[in-house]
Amino acid sequence: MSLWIIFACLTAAVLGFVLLPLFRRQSDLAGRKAYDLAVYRDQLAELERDRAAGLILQNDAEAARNELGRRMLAADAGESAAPQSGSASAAPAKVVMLAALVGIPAVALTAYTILGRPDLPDVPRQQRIADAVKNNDFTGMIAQVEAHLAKNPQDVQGWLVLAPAYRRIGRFTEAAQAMAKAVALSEPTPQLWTDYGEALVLAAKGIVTSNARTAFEKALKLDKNHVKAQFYHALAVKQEGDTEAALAEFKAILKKAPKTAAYRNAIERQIALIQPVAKAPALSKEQMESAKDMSTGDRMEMIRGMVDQLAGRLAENGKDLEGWLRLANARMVLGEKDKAVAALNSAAEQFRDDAGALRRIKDARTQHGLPESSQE
Amino acid sequence: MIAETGHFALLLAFAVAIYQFAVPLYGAHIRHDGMMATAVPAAVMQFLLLCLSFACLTWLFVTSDFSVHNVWANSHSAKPMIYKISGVWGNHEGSMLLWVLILALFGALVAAFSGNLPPGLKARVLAVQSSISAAFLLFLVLSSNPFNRVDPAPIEGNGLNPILQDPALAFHPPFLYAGYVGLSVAFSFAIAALIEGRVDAAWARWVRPWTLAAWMFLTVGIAMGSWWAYYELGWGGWWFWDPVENASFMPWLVAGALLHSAIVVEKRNALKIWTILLAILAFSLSLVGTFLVRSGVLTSVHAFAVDPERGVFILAILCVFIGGALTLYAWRAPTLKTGGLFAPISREGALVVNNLLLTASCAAVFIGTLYPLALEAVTSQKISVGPPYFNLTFGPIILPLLMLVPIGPLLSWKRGDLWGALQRLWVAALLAAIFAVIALVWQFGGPWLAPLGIALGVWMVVGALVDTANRIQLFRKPLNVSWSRLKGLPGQAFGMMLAHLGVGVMVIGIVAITAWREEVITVLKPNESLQMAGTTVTFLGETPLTGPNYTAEVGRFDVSIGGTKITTLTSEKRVFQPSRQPTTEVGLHAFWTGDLYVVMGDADTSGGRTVRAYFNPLVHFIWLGAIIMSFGAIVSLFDRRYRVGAPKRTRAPAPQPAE
Repeated sequence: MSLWIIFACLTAAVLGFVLLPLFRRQSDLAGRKAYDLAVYRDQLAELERDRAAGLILQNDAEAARNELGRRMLAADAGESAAPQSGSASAAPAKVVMLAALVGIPAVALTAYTILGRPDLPDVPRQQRIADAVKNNDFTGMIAQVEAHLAKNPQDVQGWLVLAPAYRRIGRFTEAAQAMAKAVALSEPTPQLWTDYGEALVLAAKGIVTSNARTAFEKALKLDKNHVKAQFYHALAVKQEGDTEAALAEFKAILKKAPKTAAYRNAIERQIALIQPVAKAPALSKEQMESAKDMSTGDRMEMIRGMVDQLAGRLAENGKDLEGWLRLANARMVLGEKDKAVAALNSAAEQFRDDAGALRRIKDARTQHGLPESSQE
Repeated sequence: MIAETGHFALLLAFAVAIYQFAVPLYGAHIRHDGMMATAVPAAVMQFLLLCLSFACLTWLFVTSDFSVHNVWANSHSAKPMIYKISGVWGNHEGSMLLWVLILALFGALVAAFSGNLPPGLKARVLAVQSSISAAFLLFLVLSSNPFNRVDPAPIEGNGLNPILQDPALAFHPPFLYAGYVGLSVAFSFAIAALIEGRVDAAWARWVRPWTLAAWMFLTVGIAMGSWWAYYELGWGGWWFWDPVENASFMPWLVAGALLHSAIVVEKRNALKIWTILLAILAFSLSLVGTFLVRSGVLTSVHAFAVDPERGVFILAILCVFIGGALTLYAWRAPTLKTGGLFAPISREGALVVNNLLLTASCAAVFIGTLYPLALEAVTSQKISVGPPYFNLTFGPIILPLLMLVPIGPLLSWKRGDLWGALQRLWVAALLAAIFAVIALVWQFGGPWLAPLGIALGVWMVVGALVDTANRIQLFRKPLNVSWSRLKGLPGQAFGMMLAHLGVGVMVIGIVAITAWREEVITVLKPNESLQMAGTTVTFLGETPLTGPNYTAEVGRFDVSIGGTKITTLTSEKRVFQPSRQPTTEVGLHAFWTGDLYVVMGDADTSGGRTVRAYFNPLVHFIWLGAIIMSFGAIVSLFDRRYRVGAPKRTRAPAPQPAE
């Protein structure tokens, strides 16, 4: 609102100032001739000064004076017929005044409504960073922590806040760098080592680099039962090509995992990738046996039942990306394209702040030939 | 709110510019005093609004408000404050805003300082001035709006081109623009005179100071640009006949011609039509310069196609103003009265020669700059016109002019005595000959033309002093008489002496660096050294350095003469964040005989560094000359003659119009 008050004041000031001379009724301006004569008189005075100071010879001064005199005479004679001053009639002034009164604001305001963005506030950087928490401005908060850390680079807590923030907006390299600082500045716990390792893996696009592996090994040294560290260690072993050993490690983790643990999925999936037989992880041996004897229709029925079970579980707890992707996959196999789209849409909704997850959902769409969604 | 206020002020200024163009012009046509007078507050208001707009943009840059597209694209929060501010005009949009701001400033100055202009002329001058403003404001608003917003706002900006992060370049554009745009006043005066069909005495008196001011700013701007190119680009040269440089040099040459021909108009009431043409040409060349630099035509004709909107827009403005002005000239100039006869050998004659040679030299530069562009546009064949062309064309035209400079002021008006003038210059001739011999002995075996070049410079410097000595009758009258005459000397005479002397000083510098520069390019490992102009330059080694927004390798060099250490020079290779663009910082040591110039180049595979070292004799004379010239212009501007009083306001003695 105050913006429009400023605009109004500016416009009013401009109009008042600019239109003022139009109110002038009477001419008080000298004629054209007078201006020429004033200049010549000035030049004469200057000549006189120069002559008095001895800057110009008597003869030269005389000649110059004659020349100026001739010009003055010419100027005097030149315009005797012309009117000496202009008209001061009010009629055209009124029209001009009215036109300007409407025209100037109209031009400025029309242009502003087309080009301006009165809805946008200023966003000076300092201010933005200071108000980041208030405005729930995630990028601003990151900058705030960055600024804090630039001054206090020894603040472990700061680095620990910054790293997951970077990760959330997909800046994985910076996340890994922040974690490295945190590790270097503190006495790392197994969890910290693991998080550092995971950040390195994300920065390397899923590859467990040797640095990352070292981090996981350090975590396991401190706590050999740290599940996540175990998982990544197994992944490292797998990526090095020793699938047998990797499989053994994954199975060992799974064995110890409680039935309700959320991470079972991730491990089962890894096992499935190594062991193609275990592709339908939800099928137990007995189910497999019975499925073998079933007709195609019955088998589809059983699969559908299992898929519905998965869908039900995801409806209760949606924070399972792998689950959603598997569900969409199964729906496509069953030929239920609409439900596959719905599953991916729900997944995108659940993970709307996670750039990495959105990318995978998008990949799944491309893989199944489904239309893309604007969210990803 | 600040961003939007700046934007609105800009748009309001556009509306005022249209008003200032239309109403006073109509008022002058129907001789309506009020409408004519309204040009003055409109000009002031237009300037204030653009000031506000510019201040807002500056504030946005200072506070790093990246919700403004222009700030985001050209600034960075880690930049030092001075470059945040200079970043305002370090980009296309901001520099165009500065352009119109200075245009409005000149309009406001004309409004404020020309109480003695006839009201009709004043109204028309301000109207024409405002038509230029309106056209450029339209261009700014539609195709290069500096207040466009980004939503949501990014948290960090892209940064200013690091090559522009330099003090000389930070202030080079404002001066250059003040020069370019200052010529718009002479242009507006010329167009107003053509519309009126008459040239008043006041007209003649007022064109010159405005041209002089513009010329002074151009001189400073060009000198700054050349000084920057000298120490920042690291090529050791000071002028490259680069099209961007030529774009500023051409208006400078024509403005130089204009301020000389304006003297003839003022003193002798002659050369009026020619002066009006020069005024039109001078500003037209400024517009061409702006077009060349701003449209991207210069980088390549094809870059023009990348952003055709802007290029075509400026081209259209160019066509309207230059074409319109020349058409008006062809139509109206024959109606102007000419006056003032003079013999060929006279002060007027000398000034005509000056004008012809200056415009001819400008034509040579113009062809050399635009021919390659035209050729590329028509046949897409790329040629480059370099120093050899300019040395062969510009040189022979400008040399006779330089030789004639000391003679002109000694000729009298109407009918001059050439032999008498030459006789009075015997001291200058003698000293020139002596210096030529000294140069020949000192640098025996150098280019044979160089001593003659030095002689030319000395001839000009001493010639300028001889003229002044003559005016104060030095050695012919007692010293105290001469002293009092010196004190009473008008500013204009002083200014002329300084300007001509400055050209002479510059000529000496140019000749010296062109003929006697020494250059060594070699690879140095730490503690190795090179010999240069009697000094030993030893490479000490390099160390890393972190600046506010760059990282650098700093090479250190010891300079010694005969085992005595003189100084330590540093030369840097900087890499700027976030663009990773490299720049060089030159190590310079100024001896009284010239500059020692050391540049550390790229690393060699053997662990050494390529090092380029130059000795540039008397190179300071080039910029010293430019400073003296602009100082001369300032002195001349403060001449008391320009403080002409306004005519006494007469209550019209004629019978009052019946109402």
